[in-house]
Amino acid sequence: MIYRSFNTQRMPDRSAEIFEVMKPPPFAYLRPTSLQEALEALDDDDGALPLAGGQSLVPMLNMRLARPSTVIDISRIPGLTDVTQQQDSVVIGARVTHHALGQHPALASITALPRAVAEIGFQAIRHRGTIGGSLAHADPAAELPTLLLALDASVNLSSMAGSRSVPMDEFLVGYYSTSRRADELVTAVNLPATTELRTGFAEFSRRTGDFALALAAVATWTADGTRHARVSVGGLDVRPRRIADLESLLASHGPESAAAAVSSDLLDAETSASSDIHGTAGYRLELGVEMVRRAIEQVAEAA
Amino acid sequence: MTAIGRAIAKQQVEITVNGNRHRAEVEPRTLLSDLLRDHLGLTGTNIGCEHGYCGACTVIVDGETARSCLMLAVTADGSEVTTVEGLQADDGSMSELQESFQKHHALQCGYCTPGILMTATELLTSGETLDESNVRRALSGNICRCTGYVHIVKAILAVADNRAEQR
Repeated sequence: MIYRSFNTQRMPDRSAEIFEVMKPPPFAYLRPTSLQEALEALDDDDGALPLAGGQSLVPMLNMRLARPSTVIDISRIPGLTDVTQQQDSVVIGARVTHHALGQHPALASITALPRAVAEIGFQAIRHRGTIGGSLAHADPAAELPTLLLALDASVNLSSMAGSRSVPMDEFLVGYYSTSRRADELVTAVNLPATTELRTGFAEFSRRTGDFALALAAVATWTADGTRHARVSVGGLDVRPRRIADLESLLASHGPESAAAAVSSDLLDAETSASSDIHGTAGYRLELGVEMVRRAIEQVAEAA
Repeated sequence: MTAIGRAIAKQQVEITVNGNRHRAEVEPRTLLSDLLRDHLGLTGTNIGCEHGYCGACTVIVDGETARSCLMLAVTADGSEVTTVEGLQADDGSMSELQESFQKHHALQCGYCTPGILMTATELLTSGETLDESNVRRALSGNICRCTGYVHIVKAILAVADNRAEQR
């Protein structure tokens, strides 16, 4: 079979135009040097989006899934990369990178953190991607939102109207959607101080660095003389979900009982997994069961 | 100025690439990969998926590997970038890593190779003791469709072994 070339006409020389063709849509760019400046810019333009490490936003720009009027580069604002111990919490600046997060001495007691960070994309992504960016992007299968939900974290948001702190469960609204208003900037994540914290994290993806098909984060700690527990699963719904029944079981009866009780039905009751080309809902739920069991096992081993 | 006017208004970028300082005028939406390839003519850095997955565009920015397709050129203002063109010696001879790749037949079409060389460069300076398992893990962010990675891993381990011996 002979394929005819359809392009029999000479193409005019458009190299000058092609040179200027770019993939992201046009936007204005601002690079404020203070938080105040950034908040003013966000307030001014409700089509503006903040840019931190760019590892989530720039792919969206390249594919034209995001079309902000202005990109506000917050990479030069001081004070957003600190990790500080406060009396009742650890405060993690929004621009702390994944790489830094996995190694920070102030976070060493959270053994699940380096495990979770190691699963985030690839090294080049971890060098620039940030905790604030990951949360603001709220991918349903992202590691940090799922883990931070289990750690009872809250998100600090600032705007010209003031600052507020939103618990993770309230911050994560839905599919790539959070309760951040368009004029707000994620400035930090608060982790409550805990006693005898034991954590676990497990994820399943088909290839290293792929988005997870299912992931689980488990945390237990002591407060007011009793054991508290959180079980958070991701990839099984539009946002990470807590599995309340497992939490009570884990807190009152310990890891062995909780691990024995995990089932697809139990997870299904609290999530809404969907089928897609990466797997059926049933498959994701089964993976979820295994991931929860592994995370619980890590908590048991930490004791 | 209108919103669109502000958007397409060019910005000055000063960037050091492979030790040479450059100034360019770019739109905010110009990617670093496009700046390197189209404005500076450094076409060693390749473009694959343009969303951070394939690793073909990997360069080193301020000492760390970065996906140049995920950086706006304007954010690289004031930064130091090393591309694959910066690996060779001043006299044009190949670096130890590049020679090892040639010796071990670690490339076929060569499209992934610049990105892999930059990832390997960072890996070899990480201080980690390298073995097949952690080299493969480090390469998980660079897709190679030709080689099956076998010779790539060999080439990198050969350099690591050489350097260990020299100490």
